[in-house]
Amino acid sequence: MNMKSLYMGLLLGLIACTGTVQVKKSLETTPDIFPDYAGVTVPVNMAPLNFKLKTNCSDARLVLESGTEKIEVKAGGEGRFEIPVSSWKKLLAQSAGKSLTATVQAEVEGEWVGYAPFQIHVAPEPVDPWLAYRLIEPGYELWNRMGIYQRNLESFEENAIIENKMSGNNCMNCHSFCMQNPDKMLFHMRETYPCTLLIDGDKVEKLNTKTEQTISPLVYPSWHPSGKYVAFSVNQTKQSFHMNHANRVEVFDSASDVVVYDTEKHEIVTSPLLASSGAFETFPTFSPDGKTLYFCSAVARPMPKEYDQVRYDLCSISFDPSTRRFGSAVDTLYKASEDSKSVSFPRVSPDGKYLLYTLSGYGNFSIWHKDADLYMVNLATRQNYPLEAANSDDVESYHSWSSDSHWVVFSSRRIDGLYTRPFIAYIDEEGQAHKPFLLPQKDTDFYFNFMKSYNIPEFIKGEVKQNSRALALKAKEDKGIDVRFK
Amino acid sequence: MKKQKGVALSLILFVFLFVFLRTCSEYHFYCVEQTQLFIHSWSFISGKLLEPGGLALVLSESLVQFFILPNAGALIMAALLTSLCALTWGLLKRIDPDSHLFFFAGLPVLCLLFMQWDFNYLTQGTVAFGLMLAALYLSLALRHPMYRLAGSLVLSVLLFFLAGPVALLYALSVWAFEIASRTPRWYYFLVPLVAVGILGVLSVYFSWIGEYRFAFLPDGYYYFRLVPDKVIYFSWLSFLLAIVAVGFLRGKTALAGKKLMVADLLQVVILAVLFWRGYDVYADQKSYRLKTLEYFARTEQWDRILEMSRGKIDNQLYACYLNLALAQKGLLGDEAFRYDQFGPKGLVVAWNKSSAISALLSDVYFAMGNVAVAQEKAFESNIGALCDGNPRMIKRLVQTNLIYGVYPVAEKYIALLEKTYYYKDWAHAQRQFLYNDEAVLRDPLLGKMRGCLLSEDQLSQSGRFDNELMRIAEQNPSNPTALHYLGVFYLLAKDIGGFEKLIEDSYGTKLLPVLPVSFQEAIIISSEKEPEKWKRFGVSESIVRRFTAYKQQVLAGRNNSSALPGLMYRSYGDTYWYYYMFK
Repeated sequence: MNMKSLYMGLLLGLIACTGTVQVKKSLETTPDIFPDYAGVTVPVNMAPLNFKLKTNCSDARLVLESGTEKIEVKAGGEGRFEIPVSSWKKLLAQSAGKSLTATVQAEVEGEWVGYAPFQIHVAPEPVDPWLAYRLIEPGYELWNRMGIYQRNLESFEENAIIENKMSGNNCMNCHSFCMQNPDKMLFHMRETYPCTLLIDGDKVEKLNTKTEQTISPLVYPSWHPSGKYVAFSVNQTKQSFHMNHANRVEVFDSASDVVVYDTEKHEIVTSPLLASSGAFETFPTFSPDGKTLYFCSAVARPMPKEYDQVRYDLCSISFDPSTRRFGSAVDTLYKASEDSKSVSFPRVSPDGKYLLYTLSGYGNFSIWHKDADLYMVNLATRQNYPLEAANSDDVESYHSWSSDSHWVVFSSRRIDGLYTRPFIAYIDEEGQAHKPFLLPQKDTDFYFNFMKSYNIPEFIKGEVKQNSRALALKAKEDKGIDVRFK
Repeated sequence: MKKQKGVALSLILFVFLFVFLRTCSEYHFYCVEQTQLFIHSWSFISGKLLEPGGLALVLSESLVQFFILPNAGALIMAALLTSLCALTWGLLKRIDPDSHLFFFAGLPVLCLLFMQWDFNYLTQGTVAFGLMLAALYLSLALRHPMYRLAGSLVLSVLLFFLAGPVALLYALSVWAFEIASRTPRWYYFLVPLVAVGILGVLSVYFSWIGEYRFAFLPDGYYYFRLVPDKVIYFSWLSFLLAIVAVGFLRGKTALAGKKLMVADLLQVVILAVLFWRGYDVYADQKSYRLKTLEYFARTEQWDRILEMSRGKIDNQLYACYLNLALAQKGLLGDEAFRYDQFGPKGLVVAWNKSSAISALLSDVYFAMGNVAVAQEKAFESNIGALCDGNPRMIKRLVQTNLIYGVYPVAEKYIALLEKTYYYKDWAHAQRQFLYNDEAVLRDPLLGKMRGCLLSEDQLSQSGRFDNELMRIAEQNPSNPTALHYLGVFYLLAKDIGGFEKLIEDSYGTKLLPVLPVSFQEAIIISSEKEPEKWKRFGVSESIVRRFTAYKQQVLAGRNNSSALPGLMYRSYGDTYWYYYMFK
């Protein structure tokens, strides 16, 4: 008998002694649960990881233990475990830097069985307490109700930053925060009341961002750490869909450039190296010191004819925040095109050590690419490697860092292949991801019933307090500031 | 006696409404059911209850789910409207027990009936009106003014949360009632109005409700993307008018004998005239034919669609349903020109982003074997539905995901439909296909459609409608529908070059072993001076003879060009030659 079995036997015996259940059979296997929280690493301040047994059972119970703390949870209907928040918090606090053990017993076909226990690792580093995301149906062209929401990760509280019911049911997208700061953010509105709303504390600006010199209004954003600039791409984007392909939808650019917006002067600047007609440049992001601008660049090709031949490399260019000048040369960090791969969504960790990006076979809209996986670059060694523990057979795409550089949140379609869900992974000192966990919900069937996708999950250090009606009125009634191209 | 008379009148009203709605609006109710999906799950219901007006919405959707059953829509609506009428009359009697002005009880209900015919109106509005009447009934039962005030205040707040903007009508009605009843200090009864006002303002300020019109007006019971016609306000206004009028005329309308009979008759006549006029204006009879066609397509009653398509077709949507029915019966190539046609848009209507057109296009593309576009349009239709999705389009999403073998997504939609009243059995039966490719291939529909999936992928709809149809036809020669659609597309567009190429490439292959009738007729047009070509493509002798007669008649009538189309139509209106020459 190995240690695991011995431990389980002792534990089951202990529980059996309470007289509540009589476990007849001890299994070597861990229970089949949804979400799969076995072996995940969670922050010390995370909300309870409620889960359900996928095995049919008439009754079940869960024992969570760490040190002297122990929680016993009786399952609700269909083997659902809803863990009490206050007990869970105590247990996590007790387990910081260690692991807690979860043991499940279930009454299956009239007989109580005990499953092998599994571990939940508790990292001592807390995660930023809020997560912002957009909720929208994973559709083609139309949308219904949508909005940008925020979720308290320490509880199950969710509220809307803004919903399109406030603004003529328009489309809103690309929310972005300056260094995870909830008071400094922006997002775009499309179709009705098209604009960019930039929020800085109590100040809200409506920006009209289309200029004669740029090919589109501002699109994919990334803040300069100072908050003085925001890098954007400008894109001519189209969408089509496949007749018979697992990727289903294809979104592609037929032209794109990178620009930097000066939030104080309301001006756009760029460089020929970022706005070349022979290349598609997109997905800019600043380094935490603000002196380097990373972006993706591909050789321009006729679209949509050669949509699957466009491959983006990971590049960078220096940027001087004091003069708004760019360097004279582009540095290619990873020439993905040589490996017949394509890079999207580069994001540098706030400590400046790593750059996380998505790699897929072609194109830049990797959220629809089944082969899209997360990769990391160690910026000191320039070593590139996949985040094996975070990736799955399905899509992993948009991602963002927590302010302490220890957590990443990313969108994945791994649950059902269509609806994107947010997963959170711990990044250790070696830059390796630990097994990620699905954002927990109070209702364990939530993700089965929920018909919207989570877009652009972004950690924030606090709650966005801005009144959404004020934002909507700004978009609807304000003339807006016309951004100039310099 | 009075009570019996009331019951009898209610019964008469109910029977009249039922028979009328059953006769004139049967397919409207089937259509409404498709736009308001009701899921039997606590998470769905609790989510609704947390919205302002949530209870009214849940109650209405729980009623609308039965509209799919024959007679149920008419029955439920007749019962609902009769109850509202009786309640309204009961309330007016509270103001003036001797009143004979039942006209005022009928008017708001008549206006609600007008709204029912609007496709974008939510039955929630009618249920909310009923909740408002019930609340009014309750509060007016309190004799002491202060108790009544307290009750009204509580009920106005409750109504705001449970029934939505109708709370404003309630608060106004309470106030109007107190004025009409000449209650001393009637102005105290402005308090519920102020409460509703504050609640509405706060709800908008804190973004619980998007706009003021959704907080205070019946716009809250209408498709949120649209601005309703003014008729939506009539029921509210007429109800307030009823309270004021009955109150004002209290004690002044005591009638008996013949005078009473004349007054009753006059009111009935006025209501009847309004009813008939309202039906004419608001019943949206133009779209009723579409609703009927949609129902027949949904229930695969193709012959009924063909029956409806005899005679003039003056709408591309009608033509679209006609051609869909012909395609489903395998008659498109043979009989397309036996019916009136509307050009290529009558084959595949232009997409206008609406839920209804998306659903129709999903059907058309599914019939062609274009699973990708059928799925895309089903998704768009489902998103654009009035409330929470379109069950038939969710069925299509189940089917298309099963065809693609994307089983987890299919399972998600199956699980959703399993929580519905009407679709649960169908949904459960689809579970046999999950993660079972063999079962999918064995199924006549799913297997055939999987056979239509292109082995070499391409992006869809980049201006290559004909290319896609050709590729689908080549992919699955056992399904001739795609090729027939393509051929008829060329013929409707009078693209003889495209048609010729299609025939040259396909005739004699397994794609097109025999030419359908309209294709044979078109071959004669494309090669009028090459009779040997007719033989090569197997044009039948009878068609050749008929063309000869056709040509002679055209030549004979060429001096009378204005009358020629009519003359030719009588004998040759069912041929492609006629379409090509005269349309």
